This record gives sequence, C-alpha cells and structure tokens, in this order.
Amino acid sequence: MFAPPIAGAALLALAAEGGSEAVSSPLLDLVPIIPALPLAGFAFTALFGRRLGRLAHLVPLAAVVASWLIAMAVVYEALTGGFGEHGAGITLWTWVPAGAFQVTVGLFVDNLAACLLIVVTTIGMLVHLYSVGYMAHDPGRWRFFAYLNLFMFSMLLLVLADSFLVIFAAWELVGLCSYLLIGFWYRRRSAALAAKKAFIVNRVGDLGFALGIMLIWVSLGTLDLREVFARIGELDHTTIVAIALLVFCGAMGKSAQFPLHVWLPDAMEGPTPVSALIHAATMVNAGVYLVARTNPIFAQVPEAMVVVAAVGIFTAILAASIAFTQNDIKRVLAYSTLSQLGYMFAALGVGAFSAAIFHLMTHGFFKGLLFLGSGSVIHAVGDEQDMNNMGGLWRRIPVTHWTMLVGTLAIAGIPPLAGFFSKDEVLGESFKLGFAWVWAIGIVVAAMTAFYMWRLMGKTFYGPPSGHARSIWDRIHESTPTMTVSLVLLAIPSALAGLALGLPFGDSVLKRWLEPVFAGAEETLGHAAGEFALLGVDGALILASVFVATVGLLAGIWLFGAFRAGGRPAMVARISGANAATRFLYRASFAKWWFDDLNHLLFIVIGGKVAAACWWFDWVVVDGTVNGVGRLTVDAGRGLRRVQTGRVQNYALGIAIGLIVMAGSYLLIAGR
Amino acid sequence: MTLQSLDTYLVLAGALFAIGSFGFLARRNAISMLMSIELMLNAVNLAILAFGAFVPGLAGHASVIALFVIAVAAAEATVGLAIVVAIYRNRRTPLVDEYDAMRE
Amino acid sequence: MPIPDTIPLLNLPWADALFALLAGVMLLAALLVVTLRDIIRCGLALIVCFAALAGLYVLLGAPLLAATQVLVYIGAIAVLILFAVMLTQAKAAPTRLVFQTQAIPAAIAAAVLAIVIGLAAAATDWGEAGRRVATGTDALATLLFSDYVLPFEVVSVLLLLAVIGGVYLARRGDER
Repeated sequence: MFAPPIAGAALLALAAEGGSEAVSSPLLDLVPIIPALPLAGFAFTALFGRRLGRLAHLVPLAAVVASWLIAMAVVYEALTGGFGEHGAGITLWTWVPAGAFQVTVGLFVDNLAACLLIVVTTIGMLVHLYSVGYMAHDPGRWRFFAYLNLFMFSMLLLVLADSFLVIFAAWELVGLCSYLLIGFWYRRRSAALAAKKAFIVNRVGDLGFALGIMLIWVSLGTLDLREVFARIGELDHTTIVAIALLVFCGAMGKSAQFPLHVWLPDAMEGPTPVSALIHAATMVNAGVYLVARTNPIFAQVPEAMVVVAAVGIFTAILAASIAFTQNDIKRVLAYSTLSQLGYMFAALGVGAFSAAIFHLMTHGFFKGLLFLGSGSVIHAVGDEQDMNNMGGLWRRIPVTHWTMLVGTLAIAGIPPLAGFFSKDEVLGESFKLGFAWVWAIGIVVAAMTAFYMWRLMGKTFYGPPSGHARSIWDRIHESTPTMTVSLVLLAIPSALAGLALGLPFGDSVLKRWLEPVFAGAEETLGHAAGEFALLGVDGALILASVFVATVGLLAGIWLFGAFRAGGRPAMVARISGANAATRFLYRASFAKWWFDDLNHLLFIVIGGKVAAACWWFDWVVVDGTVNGVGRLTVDAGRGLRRVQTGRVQNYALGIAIGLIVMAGSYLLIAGR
Repeated sequence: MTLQSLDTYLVLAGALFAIGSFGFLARRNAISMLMSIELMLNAVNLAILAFGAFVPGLAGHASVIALFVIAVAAAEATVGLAIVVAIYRNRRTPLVDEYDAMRE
Repeated sequence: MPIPDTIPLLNLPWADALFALLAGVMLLAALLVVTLRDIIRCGLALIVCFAALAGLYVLLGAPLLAATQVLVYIGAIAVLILFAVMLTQAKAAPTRLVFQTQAIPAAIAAAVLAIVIGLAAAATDWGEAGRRVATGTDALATLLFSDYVLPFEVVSVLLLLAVIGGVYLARRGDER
C-alpha cells in the first residue's frame, strides 16, 4: 500500500534534471519529495480510497508524516546554512519552451521557505492526525483525506516555487482545494454557497495577481523569482508601484483582507479541521508569504507598502469589532484570524518583515490549536456551534479546555507565551519605524482581541451550562486520543515558540535566520539596525502592550466569568444597550458592518440588472442580427423564386430585355 | 426614289419585328404566339431582301437566303402547331399561362 | 393625257406612293394580328399582312420571292394556323383577357427594341448604292443549285422531318 507513493516520489526525485545550484547538498535532491508525497497520497486515495472504507486515512496520513520528516531534515539543513546564505534551488523540467517565453518548474529553498515549511508541514500533519478522529463517522472521509493531501501538495508547491508562474499555478490549486473542502458536505446548500463565494472572491484577487504577473513579464521578460528581484531596479517607479499593488491584490484575496474579506467567515461551513488547516494556519498565510517573498519589489516603492499597512491594520480593527458580537464559536475564530492577518500585513507594510513572519508562525500554531479545540468542543456538545448553548464545559472536557486556555492566552499576548513575543515585535517595530498610527490602532486591537477571546472562553467553558448543553450534560465527554494528542502537540509550540524564536530581544533567533532574505529590502528602505533598549523605548512599548492585553482580559473575565464563576449577561445587555451609539455599534458589529449586504446589492441586484441588459442585447441585437441574416436569405430566396414562373413568355421577356441591353450598350459604346 | 432607301426598309423591318415580339410576349393564346413568330420571321425576310436590293453584290444571295428562311419557317410552323394541338388535347386550354407544370 | 411622273400635289413618285401604301397596310395588319381579341380575325389580319409583304418584295425586285410568299405563307402556313385554331377552340366564349399581366413591360420592351434597331440601322454606313437591283429568276436558280446546293438538300430533309414529326405529334395516339 505504501509502495506506490514512495516509488512515485523516488521517481520524481530521479527525474529532476539536476539544475542544482553550485552549493549542492545531498538533501537538495530530497526537496522535490516533500510536495510529491502528498500528491501521490492524493492520487492513491482518489483512485482507491472508496474501496478502503475505514482504512482510507492510512496512506494520506503516512504520506504527510513522511513529508514532515523529510521537511524537517531539509529545514535543519537550510537554517544551519547547508544551502548557502541565499538558499538553493533545483530545476525540475521546462514547462513552457516557447522561444522567447521560457518557463521552468523548479523548487527553491531558503530560510524563508524553511520557516513556512515548518508551519505548513507540522500543522498539516497534526490536522491530518486530528481528522482521523474527527471524520471517523463520515462516509465521505476518503474524499476528505484525498482533498487534504491535494491541498498539502498545492501549499508546499506554493512555498517552494521558484517562479511566478508556478506560484500562480499553486495559488489557483490551493483555491480549488479550499473550494472542495469548504463545500465538502456538498448536500448542504449553505456549504455549497460558501464554497462558491470563497472561490469567486479569491478569483477577484487572483485577477489582480495575474495582471501583476503579466506586467512583470512584459517589463522584465522573465518570471523567475531571483531574476526578477535582481533586475527590479531597472524599471521606472510607476511600473513597480503597479506591480506591487497588483501582487498585493492577489494577497488580499487569498488572505482575506478588506474588501475581499467576506469569504472567510462563510468558509466556516467546512469541517473544523479544514478551518484549522486552511483558513487559519496555511492557505491564508499564502498572501503574507507572497508579499514577504516579493519584498525586493515592495522595498522599491514605500507608497505601496503604506497601502499594505493601511489595509492590514484596517482589516484588523474591522474584524475585531465584528468578533465582539458573533455567537458561532467558529465565526469568532474566523474574525480573529482576519484580525491577526491584518496584523501581519501591517507588519509587512511598515517594513518589519521578520516580525510578520514571526507572527505568521506563532499564529499558525495557536490559531490551529484554537480551531482544533473548537472542533473538539463542537464534537463534545453534539455538533452544536452556538456559544449560547454551551457553558460550564471546563469540568467535562478538561484537555480541550486547558489547551484552549493556552491558545487564548497566547493570542491575547500574555507573556511568556508565543503570541506576546510576536505581537509585541509587530507593534514595537511599527512604532520605531515611524508608523505611530499603525501602533495606536494595533494596541487597541490587542485589547479587543484579549476581550473577545475571553468572551469566547467564558461563554463556552465557564459558568453554568445553558440550552442544549444542559440537556445532554451527562453525555458530554472528552474527544478521542487522536484529537487530543494533536491539541497537546499544538499547545506546546503555542507556549514555547516565542521563547525559542523570539529571544534575545532585538536580535532574535528568527530575525537572524531571516536576515539574508530581507537584508536587501531593509537596506533599500534605509532601516538602521537599532539597539534594543529594554529600559528605554522598547521596554515602554512592551509594557504598553502587556498592559492593554491584561486590561482586555480582565474586562472579559468580569463580564463573562472564569471557571466556576458565571458571566454577567445582564450587565452585557445593559452596556450594549446603554445609548443609541452603543446600540448602533452592536447592530453594526452583528451585521458584519453590512458588507455582505453591500456586496449583494452591488453585484447581485445591480449586477443582475446589468447582466439582464446584456442578455437582452444578446438576445435581441446579436441573435437578431444572426437570425436576421438567415431570415434575409430565406426571404430573398422566396422572393427570387417567383422569377421561376414556369411560363415561357416570362422567360422570353427576359431574353428580350437582355437583347435590348446588349444591343443598346453596343450601340452606345461602339457606335459613337 | 427618295422614300425607298435601305434605311427606310430596315426601319420598317424593325417595326414589324417589334410588333411581332410584342405579340409573342403579351398574348395568352398559344396560336397567337405562333402567329407573332411568323411576323418576326417575315420581318427578317424583309430585312434580308432589302439588303439584297440596295447593297451591290448581294442581290441573288439575298433571295436564296430568304427562300430558305421561308422553308424553315414552314417546317417550324408545322411542328409548333402540332405541339400546340397535342398540348391542347392534354390540358383542354390553349392559354399559355396555364402551361406552368415546370414551375415548382 | 399621259400619267404624270409624280403624284400631283404630293410630288411623290408613284413607286414611293405604292411603297407607302403597302408599308402602311402591312403595319396596320400586323398591329391587328397582335391586338384583336378573336383569333380567327387575327389569322385573317395575318393573311393581309403577308399579302402586303409580298407586294413589298416585288418592289424590292424579288418577284419569285413574292410568289413564294403568297404560295407558302398565305397558302400553307396561314391555312395551317387557321386549322389549328379550329382544333383548339374552347367551347366556351372567348376568354376575358387578351393580354398577359406582363403586357405593358412587353410593350415597352418592344418599343425600345424598335428604337434600338432603328438607331442601329440609321447609324451604320451600309456602303449602298442608291439604286435597287432586281434579281432574275434564272440568276436565283443558278445560285440555288451551285453555291447553295447543300443547304437546299438539307432543307428538304428538314421539311421531311418536320412533316413526319408534325404528323406523329398530332396523332390521336392513346385516346379512346
């Protein structure tokens, strides 16, 4: 059962045409195996999965575990300098040999790719493990694992790609997998609609991305990443701004930034492992990765970077405000993801690239943990997702509760958990690089994050049980070990990753890893490497962020309870109904600031009318013309047919007239 | 002599020919059409003889040709009338606008 | 009193006057042929036209042709036509319409045709002498049997064929 995928992967490795860099390490040849294994797993499961029934998960799981092992080896080699300072790549084959337009498919590993590999493969592996338990009773689980493996392949290809065209291909593939997985329970209408929405909104962003790639091709004549970065300085400023903004357009679609954010909350229709893997830890990070990867382009145009930062931080606060009032546990986490992604883009926009990547990594761990934990909660209360029907679960599902508590504290930014280090670095760098407004909004968002996350904890785990939970109280039990093991394994890096990667302050381990990737950009932008002053500006900033996080947390505890103490729903109602302004804010937040309605009005109603007008034009004018030509022919024929009377005298008249014409013309021409 | 010139005779022949063609194109009865054909043939004969009379060297030849025209006209009239009679027997009408079986 | 050379008052030579008379009769008769309602009367007008034409042939110096015209056209063809008219007479009254729907375009076409022919004739220099030349019968006979002997033989065969064909076509083959 395992022979085909491994054989296939080995074949792929052998097929590599070996365009390796001068810095070649034997591990470089193993790099193609990393995406190849999940691809083989997908192929195998797609062909034979249905027949395997209960065992359908074995091959995909094995493929992902094996991929993780190899990836860890490659990552170790990369981060310890085995591939050289700027990374190494191998060319697999020539995809488009069309004269002037040559595109090769190749993979490239540098420290940035290595960091992403850690996140993608680790969380991917843990989600696969979790899904074994979560999807145990679903008859379509073979499809689920096939899609998951296909997604892993696409995401790994995206991270390892070395040319824009391959990135774009992998970009579309992950979009496809997202569609397939969101609409996994395809018989449910809301799921199908959500999948369609995700794909279409993604497409809007992809249009911008495609235009950006075409612009790169037209201006530079190459799509290879390293070549483009080396020669980007040749172009004139406006072109680079256009390229940067178009590429960011694609990132906005994939990472759900405003105004293309509307698809992510609806994507929660998919199974929870999907939400964890795709919409928290990997696919939505593709946009962040793209901007980080193309940092040489962005570094040339600080104006575009300001746009990125503005969009990012605006999304952050918008999403955080919506999360205040949502009742579905997964929706709260979805908006939280939107908000944290906004943070990452804000960091990229201000020029703190490694801070963004740091936050990407820590966020992947604790958001993945939170989603998987929420899945465990939903499983425990019998597929109930409304938090108002939960409560008091901390005694019944302890493992889930304690791991989710770790995740919540991490996302709130409480030291010494991971979120504190990464969030603080994002905010601190924003302030020091001169973007005080980003810092200010970011601090407010930090407080909001802590608040609404504790709201989630309070309503779900603490106080007395209510509604549905109360009715099935005795049947609530902890999830299977496959699920809880994943939770615990994710809680560990959520707690410790910050300490591992974020210290020492100012010159962290991660920053040193990523320095060769971002050094060029930082030089172009003129960022001086400053000293870290614990007792100066930096210390003040740290204190500020910890302070607001604690304030938000305490407010949450006061309103929503902790452990045995229940919340104060009456107080909550009084605050939200205090005056017209708060009532409006509550309504706006609950209605997601009416963006879905706006989109509906613009594109369904007005767009529908435009489409109807076009249909009318096509039906009446275009079809009319075409049909009219046909009718004209028929009518002309019918008319001309009347010449054929069958009577000799009519024909004779024709002869007479012809004779007259000929004789007359001869007379006129030749006579005179 | 002034009235009789080649041009006069030719114009005369042309007029007769035109009258004959009008009759051929416009009459409904098949026999009328045949009569008009005879008129046209006679017009041609007149023209030939006029040439024979006024153009030096054509005198005898014109007469011979005109003779042949008369002979052929007779043959044609025979066959044509036989056909009309045969069609009349089939269709019971001598009117040519009712002989339209060739039309689809 | 001797006959004057020209008609008095008109100053027209007798030959020209005769010519004018014959031409007028001929044209009038032709018009009657194509416009009369009753076919029998058309046939009679045709005979008159043929007779006038015979007179014109005499004026053109072809007396043999004039005789042939009278014998063949009037004596054979016109009689044949009248017989055919008799055989195809419908029992009912003469039809309402004499002319086709396309009579007017036909009239116009005929008029234009006449004009074109007239113009063509007038515009061309025929290289004629002024005088008419007459043909003697012996000269015609000589030509007929020397230069034109082949067409002569062929025409006789043609006439034979025409007669046979006519007889065959007009027989009452399968009719009860």
